[in-house]
Amino acid sequence: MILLADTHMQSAGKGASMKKMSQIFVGLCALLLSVSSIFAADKELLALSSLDQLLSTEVTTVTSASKYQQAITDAPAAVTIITSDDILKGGYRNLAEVLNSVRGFYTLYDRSYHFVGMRGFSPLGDYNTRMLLLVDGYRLNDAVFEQAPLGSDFPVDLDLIDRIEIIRGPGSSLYGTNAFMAVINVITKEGKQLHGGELATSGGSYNAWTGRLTGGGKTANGIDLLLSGSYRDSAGKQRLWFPEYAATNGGIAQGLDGENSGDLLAKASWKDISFIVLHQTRDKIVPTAPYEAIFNDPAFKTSDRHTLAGILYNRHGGFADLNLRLSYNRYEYDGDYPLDYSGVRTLNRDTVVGEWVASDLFASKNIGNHLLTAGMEHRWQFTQQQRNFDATPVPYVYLDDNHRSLVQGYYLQDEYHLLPNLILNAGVRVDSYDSFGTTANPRAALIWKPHDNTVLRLGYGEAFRAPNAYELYYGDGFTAKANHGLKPEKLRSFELGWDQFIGNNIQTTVAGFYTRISDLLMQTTDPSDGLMVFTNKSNIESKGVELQLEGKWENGVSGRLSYSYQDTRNLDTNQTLENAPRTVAKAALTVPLPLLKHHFATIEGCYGSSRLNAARESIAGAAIVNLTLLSRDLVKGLDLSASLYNLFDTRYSMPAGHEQVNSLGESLQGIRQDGISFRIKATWRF
Amino acid sequence: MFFLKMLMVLLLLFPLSALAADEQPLEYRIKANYLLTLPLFIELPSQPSSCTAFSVCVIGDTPLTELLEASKGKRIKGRPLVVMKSREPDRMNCCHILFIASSEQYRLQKLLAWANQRGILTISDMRGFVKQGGMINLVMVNNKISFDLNQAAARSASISFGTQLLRLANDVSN
Repeated sequence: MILLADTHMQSAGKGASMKKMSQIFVGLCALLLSVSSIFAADKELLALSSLDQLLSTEVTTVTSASKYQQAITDAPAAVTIITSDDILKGGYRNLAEVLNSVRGFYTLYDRSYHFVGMRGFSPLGDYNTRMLLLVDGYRLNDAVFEQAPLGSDFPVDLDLIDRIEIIRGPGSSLYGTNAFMAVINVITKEGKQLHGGELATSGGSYNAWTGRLTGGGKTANGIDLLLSGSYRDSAGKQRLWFPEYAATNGGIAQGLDGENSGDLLAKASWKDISFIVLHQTRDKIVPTAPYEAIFNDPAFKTSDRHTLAGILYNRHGGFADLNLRLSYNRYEYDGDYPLDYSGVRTLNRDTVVGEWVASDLFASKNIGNHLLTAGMEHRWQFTQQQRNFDATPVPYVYLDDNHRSLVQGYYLQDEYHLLPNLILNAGVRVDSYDSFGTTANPRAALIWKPHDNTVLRLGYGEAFRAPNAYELYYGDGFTAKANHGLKPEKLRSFELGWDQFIGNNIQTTVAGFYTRISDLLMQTTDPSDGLMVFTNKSNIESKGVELQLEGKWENGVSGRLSYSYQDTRNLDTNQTLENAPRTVAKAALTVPLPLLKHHFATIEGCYGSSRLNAARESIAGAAIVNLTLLSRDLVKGLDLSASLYNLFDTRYSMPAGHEQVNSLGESLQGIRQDGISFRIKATWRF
Repeated sequence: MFFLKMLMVLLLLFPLSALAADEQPLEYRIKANYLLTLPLFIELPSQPSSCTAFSVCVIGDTPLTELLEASKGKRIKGRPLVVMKSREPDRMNCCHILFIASSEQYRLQKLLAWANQRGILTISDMRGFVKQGGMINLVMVNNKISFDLNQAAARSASISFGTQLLRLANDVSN
């Protein structure tokens, strides 16, 4: 499977890609045909006899697409579900690695943060603001940058994830701002899934160590509890070479790739009420000297702290299903920048605090063939503080800004079963902001099942992203100025999807999209005063297709093969967008090892074609292959896993953004990624 | 142009889907299996002696009916399986099990009262079924179909759940 994907991955130009695409279609057809004859569906009921078997058979549902649980085949958008089992078998170390395994997704790591793109859209300099990240349904995008922490800054240990729901396409009709390209909802485990304690530790390349202690269970009187804490520490690569910075220390950043983080998760639920508290703190040294900082200076550091406390009341039955969610979030960011003020090394610092309380109340009710949902969301962002100052040697304050704002959203959705095999899902949400007024965003999808194993989906949706506090108010008077007159960005998207289930084990997906984004917020220089300022500037067009073949068998074999082709361009300049690979392809295969019980080997390959950096230079694409061996219950209660990342030690880089300029005015082309590395991990349940 | 090509591909590939048998989604096949398996672990009051078959009655719209009919004649608790479907409960006699589809939420209390009087086991996959007085609720838990039991409701209809069932249940309310 890996080989197959690799040969497809060589394509570069448009003509070649289209040709390759048709080849892949033919290939897929052939596969479909052969596979469907082998697994000729059997009309009898499943030959499951015991309750145990029934209880352990998986069925896929999704809760984030319509805000209530529904079969994936009824959802109004293309959905991908990643389970804890997938995460374990894939050996993933952070959320970005998990997302990189998903059809059409690609990532960028600039050795400070991870950025995630899809459908050819992830502009350099965007802090993941066009994706909405939820944990158990609670919003995590903060109140200043509205950054989704999608990498190692994700505040929950991956071991505590039960499943991840990825809803592609515009989601503003239910979720408001940031639900622009996709909604990602990470659902954490419940105490009863642990049923005791768990101790996990891992060690790997670059002196990376992790530890986790978790306890959980359900008491006799029905209270479900979970408490977990974990710690991660990595020295990072000792010598990072940046040839563009050769004038300083030969271009070597010495010991500047370290990272450490710690997090806490506490959950409790009783009957219809559940509580969650989570906290994470993460520090990363930045080796790439962006924002005109001094290269090879160990003082360049970023630090993020996320805190969430939430309570959810969820009641089924009665007059209508009710869902009330209240939360408090706090986000803090500190960035230390060693700058060169004409020969005087000065430590400049950004400190940011975002604090908000939110409520989301909605009700769903069945009336005849309709399933109606109505709800409202309020977010009172009572601290949106941004400060920038010189700390040493001469203290000086450039920016000390604080705002408060209220966001209100009101939404309606109807799932209308027109015929037993035809569903119309339509909804709209109106959002009101202090800064620009109101915006309305509809979504409608027609879901038709001509056969029980065939799902066709046709959808149209609109989404918006409101200008965030950073874009509106960050102005230090020396390099950047504020712009209070910003409008929201707007996205309109048509989607087409075809899911075909073949027998019990195979699923194929063909999907297409056409997306237009207008009033995209971009930072440019005002020629009148030379200051950087955000404006509603660009119009973007993106179109593409995605293909996927997925199989899963009872004996533990599973595999996935996907291919996405997308073309994203700026309509004003008619140029391809930066950081937008035309081709993204993935292949993964898991097999149980022969002769050994509960042992699995997973090999996974991810390919992204070349992308442009901020200077519009092409950064070559790469196919990266990872291998993980998992041994479950090696001795009772002990799981072991061993992973090799970038198995073939491929040298590759990620495109550098506009900010990657050091104090000497030298700029980076690309940011080198890690070569082959390993991790060994042990988990003990007691 | 791009979309036209895509549409063409879709249309070309579409006949392929006919190759795949018209089989019900896994979710319903599992639920149908539950309907035929759960009674083995439950003590039901005896129905009138004129009822020789094991009758599963279905009320409301659900793909389960078709699935269950495919198993007609299969022996359950030593009796041949009969599947009945009607909008009017009084048209169905000898029911051992009554499956109530989500579409019947609006008259649920009436249906439950009817079944309770006759010692019929009530099962549904609608949300909150057990809380509203139903006996067995098929529920989705962590991507798997499990069941909640309502012992009080069962007892009032002289039905008792086996210990194995109580042990495997996702949730038991008394």
